[in-house]
Amino acid sequence: MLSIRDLRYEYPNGTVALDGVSLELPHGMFGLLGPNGAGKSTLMRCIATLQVPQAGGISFDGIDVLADPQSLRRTLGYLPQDFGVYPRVSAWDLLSHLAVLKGYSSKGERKDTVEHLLRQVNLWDVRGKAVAGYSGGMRQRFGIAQALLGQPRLVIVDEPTAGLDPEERQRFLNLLADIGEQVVVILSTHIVEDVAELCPRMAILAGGRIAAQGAPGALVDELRGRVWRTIVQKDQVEALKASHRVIATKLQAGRTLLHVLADDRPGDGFTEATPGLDDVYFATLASMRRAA
Amino acid sequence: MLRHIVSFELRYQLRSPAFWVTFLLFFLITFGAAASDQISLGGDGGNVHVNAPFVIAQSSLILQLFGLFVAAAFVANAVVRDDEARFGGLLHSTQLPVRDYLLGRFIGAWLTGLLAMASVPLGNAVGAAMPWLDPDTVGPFNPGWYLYAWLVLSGPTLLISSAVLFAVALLTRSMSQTYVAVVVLLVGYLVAMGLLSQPRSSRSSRWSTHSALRRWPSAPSTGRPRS
Repeated sequence: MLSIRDLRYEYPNGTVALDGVSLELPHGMFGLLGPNGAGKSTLMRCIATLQVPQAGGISFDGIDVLADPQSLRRTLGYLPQDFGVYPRVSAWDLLSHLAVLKGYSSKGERKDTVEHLLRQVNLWDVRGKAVAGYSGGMRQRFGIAQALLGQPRLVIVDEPTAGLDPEERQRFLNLLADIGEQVVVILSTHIVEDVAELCPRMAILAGGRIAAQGAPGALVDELRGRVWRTIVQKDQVEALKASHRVIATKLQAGRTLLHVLADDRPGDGFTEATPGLDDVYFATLASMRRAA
Repeated sequence: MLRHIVSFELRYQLRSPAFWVTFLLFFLITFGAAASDQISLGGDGGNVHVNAPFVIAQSSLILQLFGLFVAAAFVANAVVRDDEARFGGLLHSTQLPVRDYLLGRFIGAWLTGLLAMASVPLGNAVGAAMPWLDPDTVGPFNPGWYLYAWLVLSGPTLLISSAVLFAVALLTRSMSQTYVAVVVLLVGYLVAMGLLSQPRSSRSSRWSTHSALRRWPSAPSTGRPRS
């Protein structure tokens, strides 16, 4: 169980990235959804002991993370957003290197673990090639391999699927799904489908605050009967946006599909839509913006 | 952990083009100085063997000044590499202790510089063995002279300059700032040499420059005529 209490992080330039974030994360996959700039990476870096928040607390299975970061690092797997690697170093060498840093001191055990992980993420055949020359998907798979070194009980993956093609993305999500239910996995992403496919619990982070949290199914149920769809010409969109709570717009064959949030049918031409997680996400963001 | 960091750093740096370019360049300079009349280093002693201990030592010390740039390249790389490669997040979320990280990187980078500087005596040794040289200009081969120049003259000088530059790189987190520090060191060396060149202050000069070159006599007292 990871618990985060009233976390506040302000950058030296005055930007408040986290403004009183509190979360309880049970075992299993937890999705943290939010637009770019919402503070997701800052939150991930605080949990990963790379940044120290100005206020609040983080504890994981009895470890006070802020007071004793080294204890957390012993059981942490972290895949940072947009990480890079040294040039000219092969996957085998780099993973072995990181294995030493994660506490594998015996050579035999290290070799077995590195081999096992490289096979698990399907990079065994290219283990001698430089990671710097890998494709985006291969690099992310290397990233998850290093995050799994040392059988961590807390795994943080930050925007892992950004920039991957659909096939690579699916492959990566399958890897994540295999990690198991006995560990806490935090998946931070701006892609709604990632969360919808994988996570039994989730939260939406926007503007440095938690805007919604719960099980995706329950959040979707709250919107049932309140989401309406209509298809209009492009030039009517602005007028509708002014008069209704439009949560999402999507182009469909040159015309615009709108999802509108309302307790009753907003008017002729609207039909009830089956809400999805993306409606939850956009409705939450829209209400945050209205409040702001 | 420390040993692992040192060995990883060393293996990594030895694969870098910077190392091999430096090694080859320095090797060619001293090789050329020994094997050819057209190239001379440090004003050339004139009537000394091309592989006299004085020549070996002098070339090591002169190239050590250029070696400052090399030391800067290695130690600054060891410091800024994680930021530049965006590898820091992976590294700093492991249990790697700060002390082992810094000390390991430093020792690895210094050893890389030391190995690069081995090219200087090596170039002389190989150059002096060239068959076209007049045998009268070549003295007996003595490995001790080479080791002395490398380990006693180059090594400690490199250690001190690497340490200063490593500190600068850590404080500034910048490759270019570290090169600025090299220039400052060089200018400081020249100024110290100028200020302290009077005989009266020779004692204090011993403590004031970072380079062993300053303490090296400017001409040999004995030697065989060069044909």
